[in-house]
This record gives sequence, C-alpha cells and structure tokens, in this order.
Amino acid sequence: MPLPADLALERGRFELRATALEPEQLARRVVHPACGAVATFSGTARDHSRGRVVVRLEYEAYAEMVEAEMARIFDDCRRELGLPAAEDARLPEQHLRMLVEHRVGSVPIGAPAVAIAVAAPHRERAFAACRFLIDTLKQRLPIWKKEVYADGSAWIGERP
Amino acid sequence: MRITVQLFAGLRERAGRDELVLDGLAAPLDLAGLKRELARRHPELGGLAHVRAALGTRYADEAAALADGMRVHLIPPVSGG
Repeated sequence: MPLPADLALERGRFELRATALEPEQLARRVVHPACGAVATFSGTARDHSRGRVVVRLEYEAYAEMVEAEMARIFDDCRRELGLPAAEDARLPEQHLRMLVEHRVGSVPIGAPAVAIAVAAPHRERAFAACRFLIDTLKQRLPIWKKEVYADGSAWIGERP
Repeated sequence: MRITVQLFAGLRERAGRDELVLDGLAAPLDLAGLKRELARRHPELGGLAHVRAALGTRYADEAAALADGMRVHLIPPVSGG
C-alpha cells in the first residue's frame, strides 16, 4: 500500500509567515492513523541574551532560498533516519510527516519564532526527526535573527 | 563583466542598501575572487571570511565560476530558529 494520503507532508511542508505562529495547529495537521507519535518543538523569543535584556526579535529571510533549502533539509532528514524518499515510501512503517513554520519580521517576547511538528509510527523517529530538523535548519536556512535591546540591537551569528 | 550582489541582515545594514552592482570585473572570476573584490571596493561590509554565497536558491562553492550578468546572494552566518 503506498503512502498516498498526504505526500506533501511526507516530503515535508514549510511555511514562512509574517503573522503569529500556532504550534498547536501544526500538531493537529500532522496526526495520522498510522502514526502513534507526534513530537513538536517551538522556539520562542527569550527576554535575555548574553547578559542583556531583549525587548523583541526581528527576523529577515532570503525567502526564495528558504523554501528550496528547507526542501533539501526534509530530504536529508528522511535519509538520515534510514527512510526512502517520500515518493518511494510504500509501507505504513515508513511514515514521517513533517511540518515546519518560521516567522519573519518582528516577534514579541514569548511568541514562537519557529514551530515544528512531526508524526511517525513510533516516538524514536518522531523525536529524532524533530531534533534533526531544528538543529539543521539553524545551521542552513538563510534566516537571520536580530536581537533588539532597549539601547541598540545586534544580528546574531555575526562575528566581530 | 558585471555582477549584482544581493545583501542580507548585517551586510545589508552596513552597506545601507540591499544590492550592490560591481562593474568592470575581470574574467575569469570565481566566488572567492568576487568576495576579495567586494572587500576591496566596499570595506564598509566588514570581514567576509564567514560569509557564504548562493547562486539562485542554492549554496555555492567558493570555486564556482561566475559569468557576466549573474546575480550572487551573500549569506552571512545564519541564525534562524
């Protein structure tokens, strides 16, 4: 039996949004009868960083490339976990349903800047995929975070 | 030849614009060479050692060859998430 239902989610689906993220909605969208585990991760704007008070975050993206790079990260995730490409998956045991959203623009303290939901037949794969996706997107997605302080701001990732 | 460079984040702010056009570049030219020339003409950008580059929507190698009229996207260290 092929994995027809939602090939888009098996490939991985990514959305860049300028409005508030809703992590609980993501979790609902990945649920599937053949999947017994849903893992989620949210990265939320923290009010302090390296000893300074942060008043908000601002994200900028190279939007066209973010889509393309995230598609490669989803492919890498399936490969990393020993799964066939979404198109070649045939068995219920091969499910991996991935949804990622990242916000751009201004993000208030406490609000999510990134949200991930993954469904898989068992928890090991769901946890592993969630971890792989957040770690890898932080290294590769062309998105930049600026911390805004009461008296200035700094782009994170830049070296002096 | 002419190359258009798109800038993001800190690079964009230091340049005061999101695009730079470099004219009169000598061929052949690879990405490493473009970065050297960019640093020479635009010292306000600061160090480019940790800056990667993309051609289209894909990271490109420093040895990637550039042709007249191409567009290069400079990717400073990313910090999404």
